[in-house]
Amino acid sequence: MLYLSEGFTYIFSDPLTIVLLIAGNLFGIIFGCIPGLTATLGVILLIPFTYGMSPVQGLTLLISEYVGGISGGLIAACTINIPGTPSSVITTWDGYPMAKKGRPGTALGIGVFCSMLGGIFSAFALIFIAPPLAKMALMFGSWEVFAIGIMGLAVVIGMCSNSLAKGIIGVLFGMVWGAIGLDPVSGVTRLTFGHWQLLGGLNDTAVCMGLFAVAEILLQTRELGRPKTKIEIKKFSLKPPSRKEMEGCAVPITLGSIYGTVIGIVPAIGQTVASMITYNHTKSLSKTPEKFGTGYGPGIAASETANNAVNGGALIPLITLGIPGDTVTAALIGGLMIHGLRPGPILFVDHPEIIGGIMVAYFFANIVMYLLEQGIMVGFVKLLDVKMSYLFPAILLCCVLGVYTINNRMFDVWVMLIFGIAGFLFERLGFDMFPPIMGYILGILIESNMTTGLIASGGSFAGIMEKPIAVVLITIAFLFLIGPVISRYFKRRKQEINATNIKNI
Amino acid sequence: MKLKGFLSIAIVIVMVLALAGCGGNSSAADYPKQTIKVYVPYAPGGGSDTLARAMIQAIDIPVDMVAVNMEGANGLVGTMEAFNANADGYSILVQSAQDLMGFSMSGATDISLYEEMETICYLVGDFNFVVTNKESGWKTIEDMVEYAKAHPGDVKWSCSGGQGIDFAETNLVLEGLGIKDVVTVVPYDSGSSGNVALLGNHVQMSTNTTTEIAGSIEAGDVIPLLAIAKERLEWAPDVPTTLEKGVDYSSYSPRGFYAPPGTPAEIVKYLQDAMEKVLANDEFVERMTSFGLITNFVPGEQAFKDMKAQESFLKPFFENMEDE
Repeated sequence: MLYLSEGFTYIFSDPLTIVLLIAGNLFGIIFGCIPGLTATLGVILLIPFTYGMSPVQGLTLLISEYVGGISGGLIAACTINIPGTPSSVITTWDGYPMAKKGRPGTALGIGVFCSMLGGIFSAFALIFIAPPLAKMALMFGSWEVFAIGIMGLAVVIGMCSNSLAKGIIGVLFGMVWGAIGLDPVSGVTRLTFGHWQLLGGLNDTAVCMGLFAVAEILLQTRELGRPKTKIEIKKFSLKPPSRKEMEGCAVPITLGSIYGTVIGIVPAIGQTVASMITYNHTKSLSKTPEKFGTGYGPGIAASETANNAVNGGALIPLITLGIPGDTVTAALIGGLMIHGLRPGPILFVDHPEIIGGIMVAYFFANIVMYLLEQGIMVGFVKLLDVKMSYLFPAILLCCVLGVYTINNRMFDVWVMLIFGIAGFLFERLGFDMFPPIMGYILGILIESNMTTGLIASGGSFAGIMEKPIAVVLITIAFLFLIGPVISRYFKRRKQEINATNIKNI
Repeated sequence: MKLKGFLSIAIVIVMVLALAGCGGNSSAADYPKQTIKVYVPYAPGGGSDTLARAMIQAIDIPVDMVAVNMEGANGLVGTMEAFNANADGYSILVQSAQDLMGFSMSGATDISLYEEMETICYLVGDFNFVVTNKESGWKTIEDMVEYAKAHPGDVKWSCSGGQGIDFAETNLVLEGLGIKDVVTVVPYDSGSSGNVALLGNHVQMSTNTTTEIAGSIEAGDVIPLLAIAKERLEWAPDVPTTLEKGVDYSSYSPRGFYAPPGTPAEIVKYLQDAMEKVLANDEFVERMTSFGLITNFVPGEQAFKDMKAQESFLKPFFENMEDE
């Protein structure tokens, strides 16, 4: 624990670091809450500024921006039904309906509070048990990650049980989008129609912002002419949500913290999958599953705890093994390497103050995020009152700017706009946008790991059988799929028995 | 009404002409006059990105240079963007020679990018290593060869991508060691996931670059068995080279800067001279070394020749692969 105290003094002996902790967080919250400007983009824009700073200052800035950004996404999700950052897609399901019922303060309050809890849980995992947990990242080979992907798909399919056919069509659409471009493993180009701009595939942010921001704006624009039903905003306080408001949230907070941290540790899976699995598990354990999607607190808690817990999880393999989990952690490695520091076991011995600094910075970034978001929440709630005819053009502009800046390509902006129109049409045809985006995310994950896994096991799926973790995960996926069918069968059986019993009487 | 319509059209035409005038009149004689864009076809934070940014900070020219990150398709998207940019010296590309060559050899694009683009110079380079993990217990390459021959199909070997230069190099090394048929080569989507697979013992051997594995080697988790190089490297003096072990293949993966096809020769020369001086900057050298990159200036013409020579070595492999 030497590194912890060293990190603590290192961070708090330098007033500039504390300023960066707050400034980075605020910057992140702003980027997170504006659709189109994402947490990842914020990190990308800040990296050049960190070159001139000391390693711990630079990392503090990047980490606090990221924590603020991932959490800030919930603000737009709750107030205007557009995920501010792709990882808050699931927060819209319960956050917006709750705000519409006149309780935006409660929705935001639960979201912000749970964000902090998820973050802090993963911070404790990072501080106290990082080295053993890091082994987990290594245990997950191609087949194991493939199995996580399959489990994710099963969850998605299970979630669209009310219109299964449409859900499956949506997932397949998403998988096709994900297949576009140069396959990184086999090097084969697919669905590019000879157009080099498509070689890199579609940009994640462009697709996500198209389907969720642009399409949502188009949908809501149809309402512009009609007289707006004014939402009666109930009074709310700046205090953390009361015990009554947090009712039923203990389960999603526990599940979200664990799922988020674990999924964060395994490279390249990400926040959205963690949120989805937690949401689904919470719903299946709930006595009142019908309340989910109607503005139910535990729904918000599930999504927000999980996506913030991922941040801390992703830092674990980074500092212990030097393995980046996503764009942001890859950027953090770059930030260390510039100063001649290589993340990994050696860094623990040679520079405990930096390892400790990262841990302490991450822990306090979560606290600062909570205080900042609580403090300026009054302003966020006012967003509901802004005329949509002012708000929408501004958001569209931010989407165009953000999607362009993330990879400096005009092509991505066109992709976003096309997906916006496609999303609008889909939505009008009664399709939900969630299955396609999950098909897109999971399709890429499943395919590349399946190809690698198949090559390693000599072209046969039998290789999975040698991987106990993969077998367990696939079994769980299978149970997810057949579970509802079986329970429906038993229910009908029971009814029939009851019916015959009644007849016999 | 009519007049108004005519006027507005006239105004638009004047504005369009004025805009068109902005980009035009630049020539090689008064170069450089405006900001130079450096296309980085990867996400911020990697080796090529740091090379570009360190160069930008160290170079002494009267105008600004900015790095423009544009990732996608393992670097092909940003490279194509630079390839299609104006050949006026205000757009240049940072790229690894092997990647640039690999795009056309593997068939990802029909354009022979490295032949068409103007090579300004190489500034740094790195080497590929053949490595194993702690669990395998192998101390030398002979240990591994012996085991592989005794247990055909047991040894799995990771590399980055199933069609690129990495894959070709791995196969050439395996052929040279005489174990091509008894080892399974497993391509991963990137060098970093190939290394994770090695650390987790999902594969026992790997071909990877110094920039990717230096940390794991320092920590003792990854053990280098061979350097794919002509001579022993200062960085790892105890590691034998491929040539020493009878494998007739060595390589060097330089990184440098390129200009779009048709960029005037004076401009390319101007940039080359300015970039050569960057190597005298201590901070630049230090930043590159910390990334596992070795600084080494190679002027454009020589760089192009080196690449041609390496291509002739690798081409038969890719042709064979196509036939299969």
